[in-house]
Amino acid sequence: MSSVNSNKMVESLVKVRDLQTWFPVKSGLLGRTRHYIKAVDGVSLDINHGEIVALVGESGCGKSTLGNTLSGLLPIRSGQFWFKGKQAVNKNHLDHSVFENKSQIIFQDPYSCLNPKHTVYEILSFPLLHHKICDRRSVKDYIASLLGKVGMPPEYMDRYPHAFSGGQRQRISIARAIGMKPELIICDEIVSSLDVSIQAQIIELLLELREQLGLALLFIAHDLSLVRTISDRLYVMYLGKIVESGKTTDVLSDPLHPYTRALIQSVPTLDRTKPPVVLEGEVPSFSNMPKGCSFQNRCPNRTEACLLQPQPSLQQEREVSCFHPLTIDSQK
Amino acid sequence: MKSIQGSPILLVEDLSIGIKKSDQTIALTDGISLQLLPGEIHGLIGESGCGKSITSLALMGLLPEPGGVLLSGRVKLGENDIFTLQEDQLNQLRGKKISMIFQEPFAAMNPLIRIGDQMLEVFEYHQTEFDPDQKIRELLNEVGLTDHSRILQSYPHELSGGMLQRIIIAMSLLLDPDILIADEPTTALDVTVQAQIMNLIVRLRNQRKMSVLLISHNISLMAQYADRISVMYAGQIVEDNSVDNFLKSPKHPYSLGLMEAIPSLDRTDHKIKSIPGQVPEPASFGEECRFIDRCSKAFDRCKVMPSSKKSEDGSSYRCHL
Repeated sequence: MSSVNSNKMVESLVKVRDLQTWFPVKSGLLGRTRHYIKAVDGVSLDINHGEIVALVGESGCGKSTLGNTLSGLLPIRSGQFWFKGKQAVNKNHLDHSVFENKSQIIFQDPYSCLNPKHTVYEILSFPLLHHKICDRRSVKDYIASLLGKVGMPPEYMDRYPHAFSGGQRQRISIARAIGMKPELIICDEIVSSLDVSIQAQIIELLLELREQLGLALLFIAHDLSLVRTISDRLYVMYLGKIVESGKTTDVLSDPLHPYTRALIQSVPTLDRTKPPVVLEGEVPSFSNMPKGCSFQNRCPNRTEACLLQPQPSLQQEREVSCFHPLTIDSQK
Repeated sequence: MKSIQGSPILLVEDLSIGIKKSDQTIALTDGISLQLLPGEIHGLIGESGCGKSITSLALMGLLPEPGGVLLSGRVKLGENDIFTLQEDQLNQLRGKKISMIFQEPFAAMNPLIRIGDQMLEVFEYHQTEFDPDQKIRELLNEVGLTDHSRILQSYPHELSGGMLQRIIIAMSLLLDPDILIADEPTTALDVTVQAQIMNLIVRLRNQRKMSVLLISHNISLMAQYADRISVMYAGQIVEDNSVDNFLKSPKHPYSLGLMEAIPSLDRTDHKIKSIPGQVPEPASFGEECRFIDRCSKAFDRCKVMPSSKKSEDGSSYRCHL
């Protein structure tokens, strides 16, 4: 499969092909598997060194499952996954040794991802000592420097998480992630529970750290406005599949997939002359998926052809899975 | 957008609400004044902890539990002064005159009771001249839900968040209220569903000439749907303006900061700029302007709390500049 960056000579940091993460639904006395929830169903994506890649979609589309799968937190049904050129899939699991701690994840809820019984020092030192990033003598200084990087004074290391606000907790999570000297951080909706002024602080911090440390980020979000300001490339996900991908500015200004366009049009903007356009209908549930294209029941362009499964194809430097993609001119 | 006129149907004057903790009382809101005109969508915007939910609950005569006290001011709903009424008098107003919908559709419903039975509960407390069953079906139609028998038989977990929020809106309108308080009605929902729900609220407003107090932290949402906007910061209203003027030239430095901090799809070359620092805690509110630590324009006079100034165009703001 070709992608936007396939012509580059440099090996991409993450390369994923046809990845599937399915959850069995069991019922009955014997607990037989009745069917599968195909939360990630044949996803291919690339993340290059130092690149911010966004993954957007509505809730329940499988974007968090994909993030967790790429972090090795969930078993894989099938597919291939290279991290820095090394194959990471070993049977149905990811071989964690391939990551060498270079891939970290930050979660959405800053209240549940920090152990309330541990001080900030304990929270930050456990992974550092376990993975021998530093020894007992130097760990305190290292933690102080990490807190400095996320804009917190060193004396905060003796406090417990309850003493901090949501934004500050998210800074601690970021400090924990960058302490491992990662090359990739998977950020799963990390600002969606924060207030706008604090959200902007965290985004500025991430962009700054990216400059300093040369990090690549997989930024999982539902907020397209935010994605526009932060990401270089964008993947749009709908019901377990990537429906469109390309450069963020291109995709957002000239979407090719009808779903991407509907998503963009439903976002309220500051321009009162352009009210949001309503996309009717609801996302079908995973246990009751339509045959063929999963967007067909809400799509204005649907035809007979959509009863088959569209395959991703390269169009105008973008990958789109649609039988009737929009053309850039038709929207002008 | 056409300008909305008439005498206010809801008037909040100098409302301060505090909370008693052991031996001291901490003021959570300070001198809130706002008015709601018939058929107006009035936006109340602010960050978490700024007192917007406390204010909205006070409009229904509800104070925070335990220890909530009314420090000063009043809420006038038509002829009634909310805080002089007895509980049973208030219950007659709630739902009939003023109704409310909340942020989390799943938390607002009882998970053990079927939707139909929960909707009927409304009629146990209020006598009405119309047939409850017919009224429920009528309203379900109005919010765009047609599969009545299935929905009424369902438990909340069997429905999606968007459907549940529609049901809650239908429920809040069962007694034809004049005012709907919508406290972050779409925050828990996806953008596509958000557009559906907001269109529904606007349509109901137009049909019923209902007033809506829309509480949100999302400026873009306000820009699209509200007529007027009040900005809250640390328990005070710092700016009150028409949405058109607010978008063109926000007056208070905090409003300006918010506009800089938000990303928006239509701003292609906008670089987001955060407001440094954090919102102060209610216990630490002092004599100085509450935005002083985060304000780039702060100067000597800001050591004294500014009062709310009215300008000629009908807007008001709380700043020395």
